[in-house]
Amino acid sequence: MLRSMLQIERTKLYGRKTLWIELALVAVITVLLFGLILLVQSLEEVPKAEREMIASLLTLPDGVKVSLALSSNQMLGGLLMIVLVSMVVAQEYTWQSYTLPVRAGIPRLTIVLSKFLMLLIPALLLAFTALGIGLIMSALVTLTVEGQIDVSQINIVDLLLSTLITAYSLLPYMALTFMIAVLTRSLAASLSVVAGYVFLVEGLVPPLLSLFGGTVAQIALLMPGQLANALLSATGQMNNMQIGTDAAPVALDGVDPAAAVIGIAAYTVIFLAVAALRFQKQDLTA
Amino acid sequence: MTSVLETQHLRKAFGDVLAVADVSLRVERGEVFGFLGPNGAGKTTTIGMILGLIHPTAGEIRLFGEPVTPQRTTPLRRVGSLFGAQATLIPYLSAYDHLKMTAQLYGGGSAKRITNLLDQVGLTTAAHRKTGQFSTGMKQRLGLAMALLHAPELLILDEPTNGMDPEGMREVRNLIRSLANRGTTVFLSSHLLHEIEQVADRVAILNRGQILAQDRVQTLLAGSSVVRLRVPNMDLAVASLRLLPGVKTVERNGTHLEVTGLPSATIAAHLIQDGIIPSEITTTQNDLEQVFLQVTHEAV
Repeated sequence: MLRSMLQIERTKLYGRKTLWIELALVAVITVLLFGLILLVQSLEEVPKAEREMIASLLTLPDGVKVSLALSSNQMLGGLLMIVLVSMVVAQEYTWQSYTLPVRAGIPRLTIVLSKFLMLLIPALLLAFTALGIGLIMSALVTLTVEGQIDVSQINIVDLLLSTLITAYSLLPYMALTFMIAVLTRSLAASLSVVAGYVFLVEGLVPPLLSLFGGTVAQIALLMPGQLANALLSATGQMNNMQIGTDAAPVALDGVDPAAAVIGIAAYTVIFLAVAALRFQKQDLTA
Repeated sequence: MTSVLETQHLRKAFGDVLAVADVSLRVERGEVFGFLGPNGAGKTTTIGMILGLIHPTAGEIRLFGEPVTPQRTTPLRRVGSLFGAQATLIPYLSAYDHLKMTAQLYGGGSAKRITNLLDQVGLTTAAHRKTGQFSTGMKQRLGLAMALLHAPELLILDEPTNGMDPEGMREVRNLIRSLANRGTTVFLSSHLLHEIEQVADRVAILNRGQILAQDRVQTLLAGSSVVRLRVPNMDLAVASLRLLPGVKTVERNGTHLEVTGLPSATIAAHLIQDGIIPSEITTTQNDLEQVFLQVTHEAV
C-alpha cells in the first residue's frame, strides 16, 4: 500500500507547476547572486584585499557552498519548501482529495507517511539544483579569474555531503509546515504561521536570548532552525554566507553536529507524529 | 446470509448539532438500495461514516460482515464510491491520470480497462484534459468511472447525476440497473425521488437524521396509495377496516370511504370476509414523491 501511495504522491507532486517554478527560481537566483557578487568584486572602489576575498568565495570549491547556503533552511530553500509543503498538504483539504485513498481502504497513517516521504524529493532536488548551478557558476568564475580549473581541489564526497546536509536542514521546517497545514487545513494559515515562526521567532529569539548568555542562550541553540544552522556551519556553508555581515552573535558551533542531526530528526518525528495523530481523527468531508 | 452493508444505531453529532440521530440500515447483496432524504437530512454524513471519512459518535458499521471504523477500513477495498456534491478530483491532473491513480490505489485496472471506461462514460476525447476545466457533469462521469474501475462488489453513489443533462441521467440509471443485474450491489443516495423510484429495489427515507421508513419500493407505494370504496353500510365497513392490521387511515368522503395503508385486494378480501361486499373499488396510485412527503409530514 505504501508503494502504491508513493507512486500516487509522485504523480501529484510532479504534476505541480510550483515544484518546477521553485527549482527554476533557485537556479535563476543563484546565477543572479553570482552575477551581483562578481559585479561588486569588479568595482574599483572595493579594496584589493576584499576583492581577492570575494573572488575566492566564488571560485571552486567554495563557490558551490555559497550556492548551497542559499538553498538552506533559513534562506531561500526554507521559504520555498514552506510554500511547497503548505500547498501540497493544505490544498488537498480544499479539494477533499484525501477522501480518495481513505475511501479505498488505505490507512490514514500510510497517507501521511507517503506524503511526507515524497516531499523529501523536492528537498533533495532543491539542494542538487543548487549544487549543479553552483558548480557551473563557480567553474565559470574560476575560469575567468584563474584561467583554469584545478579539478584536484574539488572534493566530490565533501560536496555531496554538504548537499545532503542542506536538504536535511530543511526537514524541521518541512515537518513543522506539514503539521501546521494538517492542524489548520488552510494554505494561507499554514504559510503565514510557519513563515511568521521562521522569520520572527527563529530570527529574533536567538539574538535576544544570547544577550542573557549562559544557559538561557544555550536554549536558543536547541530551536529547530538553530540546530540546522549548527549543522550547516559544520560544513562551512553558514560561515561562507556570513563573511562580511553583521550576523547574530549566536555560537553556531555551540551544538555538536551529531547532536544537531539527532535534534533535527527528533523535531521532524515529533511534528510528523502530531500531524499523523490529528489526521487520524479528522473529519475529511468538511 | 451476511448483508453487504449494515449500520446499527449510527449517530453523529458535530458539537451541539445532531446531524445523524439514529440510522440502522441493511443492504442485501445484488439489490439497488435508494437512500432518500431532503437536503440536510444527514445522507452525506451517513455515507461519510460508512466510507471511513467521519468518526461516528455512536453506532456500528459493517461491510460484508466486517466492522468498519476510520482506523479499520480494509473492507472498503471492495467498495467503489462517488462521494460529495461533485466528484473529488485534483484540478491539475487529467482524467486519465485520475483513473491511473485509482488503479494504483486498488491495485488493479489495466490501460485497456481505463480506455474502455473513459469510452463508457463519454470522456475519451477529454481523457488528457485537466479536470479543473471539466463541467460538473463531466466530473461526475469521471467520478463514476473511478468508482467502477476495480469492479467493486458494492457501489456507493452520492447524488451521482448531479450536474448531468437528462441524457446523462438516463445513461446513469441504465448503468445502475445493468450493474445490479450483473450482481453489483448499489447504494444510491439522492434527493431526486423520480430517479430512485425508477431504479431502486428498496429504499430508506431519512429526515432530520432518522430513518422514517425502510422497505421495498412497491410496498411503500402500495402502502401509501388511496383505495376508494363504495360500500352498502359505511359504519360497519369503517369499524371492520379499523381492526385490520396495516390500515393507516379510514376516512369518509361523501359516498365513498378512503383507505390507506394496504393494497386494494387485501382491503376487499377483508371486507368480503366480514360480509361487506363493496360495489366499487378504485385505487389512486401514489408515486415515491407523495410517499416521501407523506412519511416526512407524518414525522413532523
